[in-house]
Amino acid sequence: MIFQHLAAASDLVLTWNMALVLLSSALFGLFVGAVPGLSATMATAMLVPLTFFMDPVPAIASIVTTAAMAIFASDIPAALIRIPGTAASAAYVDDLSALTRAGKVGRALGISVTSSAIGGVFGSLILMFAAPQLALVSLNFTSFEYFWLALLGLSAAVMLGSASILKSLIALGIGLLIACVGMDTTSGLPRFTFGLTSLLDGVAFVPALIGMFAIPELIRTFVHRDTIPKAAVIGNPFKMFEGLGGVLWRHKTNLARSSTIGTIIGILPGAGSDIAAWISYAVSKNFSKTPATYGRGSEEGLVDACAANNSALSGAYVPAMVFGIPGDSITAIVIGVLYVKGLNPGPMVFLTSGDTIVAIFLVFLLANILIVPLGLLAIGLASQVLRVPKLALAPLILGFCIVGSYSINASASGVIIMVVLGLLAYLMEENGFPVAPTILGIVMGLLVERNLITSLIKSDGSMVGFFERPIAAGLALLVAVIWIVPALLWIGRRLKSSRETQG
Amino acid sequence: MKLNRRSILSLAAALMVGVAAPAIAQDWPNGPVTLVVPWSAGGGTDATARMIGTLLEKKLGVPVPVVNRTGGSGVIGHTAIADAAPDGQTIGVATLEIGSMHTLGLTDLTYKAYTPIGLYNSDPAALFVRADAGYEDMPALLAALEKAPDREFKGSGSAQGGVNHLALAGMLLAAGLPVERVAWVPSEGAAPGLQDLAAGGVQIATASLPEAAALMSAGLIKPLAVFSEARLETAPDLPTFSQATGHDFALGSWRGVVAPAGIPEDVAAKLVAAVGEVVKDPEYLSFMKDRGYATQWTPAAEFETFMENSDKALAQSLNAVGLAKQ
Amino acid sequence: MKIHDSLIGALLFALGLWVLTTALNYPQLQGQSIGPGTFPGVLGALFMAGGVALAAAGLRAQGMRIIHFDPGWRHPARLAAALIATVGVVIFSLGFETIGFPVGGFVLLTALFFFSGYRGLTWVLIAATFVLAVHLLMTRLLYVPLPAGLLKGIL
Repeated sequence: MIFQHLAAASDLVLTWNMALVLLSSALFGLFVGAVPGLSATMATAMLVPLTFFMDPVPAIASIVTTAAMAIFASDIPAALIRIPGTAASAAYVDDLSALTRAGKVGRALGISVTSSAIGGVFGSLILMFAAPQLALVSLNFTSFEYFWLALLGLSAAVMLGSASILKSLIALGIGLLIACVGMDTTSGLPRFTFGLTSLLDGVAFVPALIGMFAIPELIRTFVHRDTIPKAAVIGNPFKMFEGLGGVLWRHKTNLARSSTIGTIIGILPGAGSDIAAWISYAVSKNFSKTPATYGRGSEEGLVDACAANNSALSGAYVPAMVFGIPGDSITAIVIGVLYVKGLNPGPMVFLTSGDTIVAIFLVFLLANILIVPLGLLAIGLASQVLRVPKLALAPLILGFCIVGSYSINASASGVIIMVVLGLLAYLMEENGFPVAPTILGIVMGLLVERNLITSLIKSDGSMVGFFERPIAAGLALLVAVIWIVPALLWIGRRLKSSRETQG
Repeated sequence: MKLNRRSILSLAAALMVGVAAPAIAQDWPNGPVTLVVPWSAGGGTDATARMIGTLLEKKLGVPVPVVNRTGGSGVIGHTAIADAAPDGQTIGVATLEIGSMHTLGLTDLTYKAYTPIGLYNSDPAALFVRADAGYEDMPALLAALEKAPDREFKGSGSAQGGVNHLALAGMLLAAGLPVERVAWVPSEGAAPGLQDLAAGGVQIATASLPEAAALMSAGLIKPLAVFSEARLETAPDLPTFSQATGHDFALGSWRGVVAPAGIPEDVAAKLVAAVGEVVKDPEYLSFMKDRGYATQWTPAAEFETFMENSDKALAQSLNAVGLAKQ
Repeated sequence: MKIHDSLIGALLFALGLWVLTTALNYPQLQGQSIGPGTFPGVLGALFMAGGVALAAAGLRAQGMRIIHFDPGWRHPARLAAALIATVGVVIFSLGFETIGFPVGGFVLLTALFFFSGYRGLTWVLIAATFVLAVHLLMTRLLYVPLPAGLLKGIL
């Protein structure tokens, strides 16, 4: 099907009009991604009015390009000021900033930009060649499978960092508890809201993300001034590629594995690029020969997570195109645009509008390839920021944080959430509790709880149902492995060291 | 950073001049008009709301972002619309659940918290099973349900006490079966419930026909009966529940645009006029027809009367199935 | 601010106890043995266990002060900057709609620059330009309804 439509599709894509659309939406996406608090979803929503005046292919192209660029660009503030632009970068923000502090910011962002592009291209190719078949597989996921998948992600978060497992677990629990705040989704009962209407809808995620990363960093900048290491400056942007080929080649299996994981997670409705990044990062750590470097500037972990979050973005379009089921909030908007343009999602669209669909696939490829040159440009511009002392930059960052937290729901309660959770995060980090598991707990809390409760209703309260279906059992096994392998390694080390002390 | 921002600014400005200009001329709409949807993205309410939002955007000359405020069996979204500032900058889609939520004891909120703009759609619910489930028709399923122990069959398609839950419970009562025969698995709308049916997580799902269109055309699920008075134009081969079984039962969801109570009268009038034009737009009509949604337009005061009647009817059926809060 | 593990453990235990008792009081779903309290209840129990484990580990490790402040907190200017960036922002957001972003943001940024040691007209101008640019960008191009507050009608 791909090849018979390829010629007609290329005619739709390779036009000057399309070049303009791609370029301007790419720049827009880079900007939105690089500013903490402006999310890829928000950028997509802003584009919708503009898509009225466009043909179907440019309309979708502008959205796809903006989202892909925004997901990559959020790595830039993560590396430079340790504040991820979107949740998809939260998994590896510590690695990025550790590399930056070690003077390897060019290398770190170089890895990020190329892995993102490779992951994105991989996801697009999968989308092109296997969308209908894969969508069928994703439809086999019931609440049992989603529960295990969510648990897999949570286990990943605990194993992620370099902190103690106990403290990571507690940090995760805090995140899950924060996710409980607000009206319960199955019964509508308000929980832990202290009678505040602004909390009925739960703790808004974007302000929480901004606060937990930005506020501790700002407090440390203002107060612990003497202990802040000086950041390095990116010299020549082209220097970023020195030795990069070697790094990528060494981790070629990682690239393939994480792009696959990312695409699969993207295909599942309800799990997007943020969860993809976490899971592939954890898998990467489990298989790595140097797991101790994770969270302290691991290039390997970076390769994995960056490839996964961009490939997930393409994956989300599989159920969207085939069944009209959105994989994440961006595709929900895209489905709306598709309907308006008369491209009703469904198995039939691949037959009735083959040219257009293939053209959209080509756009996916182009957008992900564009990440490299435009990403370099953005890194070069953003690196100028590093020339300014961090202390002078801090008030301006706070300004962006306030605007970002406010704009997500147009409500000042977001700003208060940002500060309160920020103070909590500061106390946590001071005392050796990692913040990343808390963020993941907030992201996944709803998914875990809803699927646990739904599954318990289905199985009448028995746990047997959680293992009856083959995919569910497989995922359960994977969760068990993630927990058992490190435990065995730990016991092994213990035995060895005690033998050494005895001998 | 500086240079980047400036280039974006000029680029975006060049692109958006045409869209932004009309917004300054009058005091309403003053900036974006947010359209709140109490159900998840991809469901029927979401799809129709996005279509209306898109056309309203053209009509008003300001962006009309659709915001999904899901959860709490619809309470969160419906509350968000009622609590919004009454200035016409936030409107929303109210659904049948506004009449059942307070009877269920989930909230104190009723249709009285809104300024009615207009009812634009009502669709009967239908009953779906997996295509490979082995039930040829409705009587076959009822026979299986009769023999099965309580809670062996699971059904999904809406929140606890949502319209699709009521449809299933009402159908069971009409067929002389206890409500407990099918355990209800709450979902955040029809789309996740139908997907759970296709995945084999539940055996029965209730939803309106257009919401199930994609999964039906993929051959994964099939409808057995529709809970309406007469066969639908869009699905002439599908029997109504009464035709299939001889038991009498009909129930359907409805969707209407509302604004918070107490918005200025002239703004309300402008909204009724604007949405009224949108629902007569050929693009809207062909979209609704393509996806199998019924269309109608019951504006302002008549819509209020409609909501009042729906409220009473729901209270009755909830009491009958024992879900009403005592 | 570093707190001794034994104290954190005790606080976590108390939090867990509160969460658990609150969750146990939630009603259950009609005809089901589970409900909105199930998940938080499990979390509460986990917090209690985690609190005990942490406190036990903390008592074994001894040797640290109960609460330890970073020396940076003793400089009045740094303390002021940190307070403005947290408490100041909360106070600002309580009156966000009336004060508006342009005025409130400008005051906040100028004060932060001042206490960070960046004083003089240049930094006042930087704060003003930044706040104004962000405000215009957000409201005019991205349709984020940032309140103009005190400057309503001017911006």
